[in-house]
Amino acid sequence: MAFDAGTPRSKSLPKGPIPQNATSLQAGGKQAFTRIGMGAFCRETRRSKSAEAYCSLWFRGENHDKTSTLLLRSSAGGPSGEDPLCVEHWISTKTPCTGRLVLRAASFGPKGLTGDFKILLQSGEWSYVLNWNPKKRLTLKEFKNFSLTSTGLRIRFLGYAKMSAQGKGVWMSRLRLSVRFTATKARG
Amino acid sequence: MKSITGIVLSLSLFLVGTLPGQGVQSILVSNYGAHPDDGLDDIAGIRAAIAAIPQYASNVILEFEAGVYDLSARTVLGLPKAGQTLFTFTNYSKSVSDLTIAGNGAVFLCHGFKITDPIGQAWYSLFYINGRAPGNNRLLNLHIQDLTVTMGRLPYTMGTCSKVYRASNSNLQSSFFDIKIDPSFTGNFSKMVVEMLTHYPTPGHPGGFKFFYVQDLGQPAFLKLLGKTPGGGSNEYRFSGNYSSPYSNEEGFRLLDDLPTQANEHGKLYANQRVLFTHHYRENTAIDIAACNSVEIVNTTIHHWAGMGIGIHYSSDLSFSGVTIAPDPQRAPSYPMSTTSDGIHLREISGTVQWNDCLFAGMGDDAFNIYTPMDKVYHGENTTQQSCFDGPGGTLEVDHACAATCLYQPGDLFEFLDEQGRPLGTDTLKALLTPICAVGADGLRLQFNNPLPQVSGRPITYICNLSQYPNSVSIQNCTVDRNQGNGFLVRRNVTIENCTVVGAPATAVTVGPSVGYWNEGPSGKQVTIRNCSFTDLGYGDGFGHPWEGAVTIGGFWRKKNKEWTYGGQGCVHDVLIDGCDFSTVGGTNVVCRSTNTITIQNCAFEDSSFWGYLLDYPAEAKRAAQSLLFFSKTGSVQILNNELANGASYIYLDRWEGTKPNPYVLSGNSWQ
Repeated sequence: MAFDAGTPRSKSLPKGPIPQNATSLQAGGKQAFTRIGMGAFCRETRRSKSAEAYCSLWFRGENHDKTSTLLLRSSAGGPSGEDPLCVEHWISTKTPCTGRLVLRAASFGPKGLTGDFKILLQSGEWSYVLNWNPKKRLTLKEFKNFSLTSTGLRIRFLGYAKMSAQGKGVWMSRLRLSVRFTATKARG
Repeated sequence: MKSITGIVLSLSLFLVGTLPGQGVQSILVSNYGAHPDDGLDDIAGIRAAIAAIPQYASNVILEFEAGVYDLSARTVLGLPKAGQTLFTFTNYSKSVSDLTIAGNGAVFLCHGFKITDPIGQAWYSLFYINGRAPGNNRLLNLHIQDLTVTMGRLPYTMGTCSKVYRASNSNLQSSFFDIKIDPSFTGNFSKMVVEMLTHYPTPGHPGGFKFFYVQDLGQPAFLKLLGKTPGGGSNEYRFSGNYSSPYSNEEGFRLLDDLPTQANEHGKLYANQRVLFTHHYRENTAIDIAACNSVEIVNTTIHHWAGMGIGIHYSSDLSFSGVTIAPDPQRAPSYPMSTTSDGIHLREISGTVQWNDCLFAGMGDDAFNIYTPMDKVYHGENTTQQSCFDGPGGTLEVDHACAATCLYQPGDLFEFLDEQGRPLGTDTLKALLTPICAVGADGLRLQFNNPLPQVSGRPITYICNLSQYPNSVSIQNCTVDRNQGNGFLVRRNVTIENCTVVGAPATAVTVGPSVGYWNEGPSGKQVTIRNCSFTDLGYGDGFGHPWEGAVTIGGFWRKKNKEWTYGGQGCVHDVLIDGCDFSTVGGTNVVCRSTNTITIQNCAFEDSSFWGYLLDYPAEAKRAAQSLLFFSKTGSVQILNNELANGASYIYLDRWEGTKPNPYVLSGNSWQ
């Protein structure tokens, strides 16, 4: 269902003063939140196979006037409020295979999104660290012929992020960290 | 303290041996003359690269580079109209599989939008990917990743109301208001036709924008542009109501009856408020996909498009991750709209659908809609031939266009529904026959395996192809933020988990068929909504009503007299709402109409139903809007272990119209 543009659906409001109780409820600031979404999933079709682990940090809040500043933070707390979160995933396979491994740290939102986040990978003795660059919309690293072995790939998203936004309006930002493996060729 | 989550993925999927294919064929668009950030038009270069795809049978990667690709759509294609596409992937002479469109951080910047283009003709599509190949084959494995879509001139116009003048009641036609258009929005506003205003001042959006819907020129204008504001700036315009419109006597259009006479009064428009005029809508989508088996869209962003964001039909097994449809943050929050219509439409989809970690924000209408179109059954009303419906013979005709190719195949499972959207039974299609009653190509005659179901007083009015609706839809970790319609419109086999819907004027989730106008099915069942957060919803501006609830479950029926109402019991059953938070919801929180077997458990309701009781709506709707939970024509209901937090200012805690739901189980709730 979507909107029927040809049929009026709006109705008139009653005349009279704006009810103050309703307005005060809005002033309660219910609409600011910080949310962490995380997950890992794999996908297989007849011809392609992939797996992805991700960690998403969402910030949303509203300033009611132009001098207000929002400060929202995703971290594990601590005295400075910047203790790192650590979200860990593991990708493994029974049969070794090669493919594209793409590490991404994509930020969306106001320039006031800052922090320190890393993607840490470990597979046997091999390891790699991608540091999120908050000044870039996209921090990307790709391994085109990555070998996923039976010992698997350990993925950790580690760090904190925070959003600072000044001015009237609704502000939203998001940092999405992901590691995606797409098989291009299987062995064995 | 660290929070550690360990998830182990055991990928048995990698058990299979060597993948078929001859290695990856990479097509660099730069080799065909398309270079980012050079300020030159890239349409011809990208088209040339696309034309090279069919020479490879499989494993093709169309590679872009990070940077901005300029697309001067108007210069190349002329006036936008339906069916026009910048980049078409179709007409393959042979089947192609494993096609990847790898953006690598590319931004597609489309130029040429003008507000005076005929709106009914729609804006262009960016990508049209039709995977149909010879022998009824489809494109196998389509991947789209790491790209961003946006427009140069935003597909709407914003400004600030600089003055409101409300005349006396006896002389309302003399009322007017002035709008000062933002300097960044250019255009000839004298040709702009404004059809209606749909944004009210409410507690939900005290600092929000007013939202004008601009229809095509065939529609009666809602407003009259009187011209430039006398003494105003060069970009300041004066509007009055259009009392010659056939709609002008209808309540929703009486804008000028509802201008406030004093600053503290309700009204539809105030001085200093921001206003938004939307332009093109519907028709072409930014990314349009058809006839593809296995579609994967990853890390793809659509900031702005005059129409829908992504439309996919007649395809199977869809997967989305990291997809964003949201206004460009460099332009937001001042310019809050992304697409001028719905965000996502998925129709005629089979197999599974997965959405992970996606954001929908600022759409001009609904965020997400998954459905199968219903066909209207001919009963011979418009023909002298009465044999177009043969119940005992298992044959009927429908208004389904099926010209060059037909989406219906023998063996497809169909659902039969009555005029209110209630299911009457299912059967398998046996054969496609030559139409007897239908005129031209707009008709199909369908032969089913068995006699058609006959229920007294409920003739078959619609059919819906269940083989073209997914057997599993999973929506996880997604957020819908400040669009102008509903959040998720779903029917059956759906799980929505860990999602947030905030700031929508209508519902967060709507479950059920819609018949009589949109004709979107099938009937609803087996939907789970778990661990979601619904905030600041249902305040009734935009396209929504406080009585629709944050979660609305039911059949939506537009009668022949064009009145929207709800179908009888049976349209939807088996819906579970578990562990969700409802806060600052304008009207009712959960409304069930025409439903059965509903469970609402472990939810928290906070600061809810705070607005609906103020409204002067029709009786049933008003009672719904005043209720925390509302049931109508509903059978079995369980309300278990829910919490009512501070501030919920409903008038009725739970209420039902007509007969009480049976059984009606209340247990473990904090209000008991």
